[in-house]
Amino acid sequence: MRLTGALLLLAAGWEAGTALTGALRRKCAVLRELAALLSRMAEEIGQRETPLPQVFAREAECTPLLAAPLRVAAKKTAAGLPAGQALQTLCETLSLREGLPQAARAVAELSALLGAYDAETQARACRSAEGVLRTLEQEQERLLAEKGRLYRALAFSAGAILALLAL
Amino acid sequence: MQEPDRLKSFHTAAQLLPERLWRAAYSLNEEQRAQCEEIRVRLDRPLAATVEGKTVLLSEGIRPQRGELDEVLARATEASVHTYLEQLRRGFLTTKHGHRLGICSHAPDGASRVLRGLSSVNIRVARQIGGLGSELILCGPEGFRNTLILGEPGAGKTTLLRELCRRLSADMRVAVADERYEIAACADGAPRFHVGNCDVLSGGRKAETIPMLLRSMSPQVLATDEITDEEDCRALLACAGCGCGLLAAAHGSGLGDLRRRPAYRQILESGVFRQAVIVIQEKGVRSYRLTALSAGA
Repeated sequence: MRLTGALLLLAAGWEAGTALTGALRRKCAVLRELAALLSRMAEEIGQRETPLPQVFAREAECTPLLAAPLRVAAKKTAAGLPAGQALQTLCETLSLREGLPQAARAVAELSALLGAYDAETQARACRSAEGVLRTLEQEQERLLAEKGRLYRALAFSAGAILALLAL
Repeated sequence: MQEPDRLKSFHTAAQLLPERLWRAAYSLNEEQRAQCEEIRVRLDRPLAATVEGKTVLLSEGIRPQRGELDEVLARATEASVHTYLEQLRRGFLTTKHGHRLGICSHAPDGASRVLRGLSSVNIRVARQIGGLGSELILCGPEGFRNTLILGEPGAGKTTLLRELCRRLSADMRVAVADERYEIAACADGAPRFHVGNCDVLSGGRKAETIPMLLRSMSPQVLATDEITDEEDCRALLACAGCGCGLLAAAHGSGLGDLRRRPAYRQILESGVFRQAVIVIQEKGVRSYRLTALSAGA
C-alpha cells in the first residue's frame, strides 16, 4: 500500500513538471499554426490570387487555436476594412492572450502589406513573416526542452521526497 | 430602374465611402440620391456628387484625407487590391455591385505593383434603366444588328447598350465583350445587371476577346463598350467581315467628332455600321437621335 502511494507521488511529480510547461507548449503550437497559416496564405495569394476575406475564412477552419480572430478578420475585410485593421484582433490575441508580442509585431508588419500590393509582393511578405515565426518557434521549442527537463526534474524530486517521507 | 432600385444603387455606392464621407453623401435629399450619377472623392477637396449632370458640393467642411481615399479603395476591393490589379493598371475598377471607380494616382513605373498616392476617386453609380430606348427597339431587332451608339461621357451610352443587348438577346445570340465590366458587371461569372441571354466575356482587351467570342460563341450580334483605339476598330472590322452584327459605343457628341479621329474614320468608311444612335442628355432628360450611315460616310 505504502509502495503504491509512493509510486503515485512520483508519477504526480512528473506530471506536475510536465504541466508547468503547458504554457510554453501552447506558445509553440500557436507559432506552428501561425507559420503554417502564413505558408498557405503565401500560396493562396501568390498563386491563386484569392481575395483576403476568403483566405481568412478558409484559414479560420484549419487553424483551430486562432480561429476566432481569423473569423473576425474575414468579416472585417469583407466589409472593406484594410488588412491592418482587420488583423488587429489577431495581433491583440497573440500579444495579450498568448504572450507572443514578437509574433504579434511580425503579423502587424505583414498586415500593412496585405491586400495593398500585388500578389507576388504579398506572397513574399508572407514567406518572410513565416521565417520570423519559424525562428520564434524554434526558440520556444528550445526553451520548452530546457525548462521542461528542469521542471520535470524539480517536480519529480519533490515527489520523491514526499514518497520517502510517506514510506 | 424604379426609384427604390436607384436609391439602393446609391446606397451600395455610398457604402464604399468611409463613415465621415458616407454621412456627407447622405446629405443629399432622397430625390437627389435617386438621380445621383457620380460621387467624386478628391484629396483635400470638398466631396462632390453629380446629380442630373450638375455638380453638387456635398460639404465644404469635410475634405477627404489620404487614409480615407485608401479606405475607399480597400472597400471597393474587399481589401484585396491584388485581385483587381489588372483593372487598376488601366485606371479603373468595377465593384461587385457594378459601380465603376475611376482612379487617379501616382504610378511610378507605369505598370505599378501598387497604387501610391491616390489623388482622386470617381465613383460612377451603376444604374440599369429598364425600358430605355424602347422606341428605338420598335425599329426591329434586325435593324439594330449594326449600330454605333454615340454620346458624351456620362450621357448614358452603356445604359442604352445594355438594354439593347438584353432586348436583342431574347431572339438572337448576343455575345458581349465587356472589357471594363460596365455592361454586365460580372462578379464570379454572374452578371450583376440584367443582360438577358447574352454570353459575356469580361475583363480582357477587346482586340483579344472579340476574336475569341467570334470563334467560341458563334454570335449573331457582338456588343462592346467604348471602342477607343485602332486595335479595337481592327477587331470590329474583322468581326463584321465574318457576318456578325455589331453593337458598339463610342465617345463623341456627333458623327463629326468621330470623323476627326483616324481610327473611327476607317470604321465609318468601311460601312460596317448601318446607323448611329446619338445619346443626348440635357438637363437630366435623355433623348436619342437616329442617323443612317452609309459606306464612306
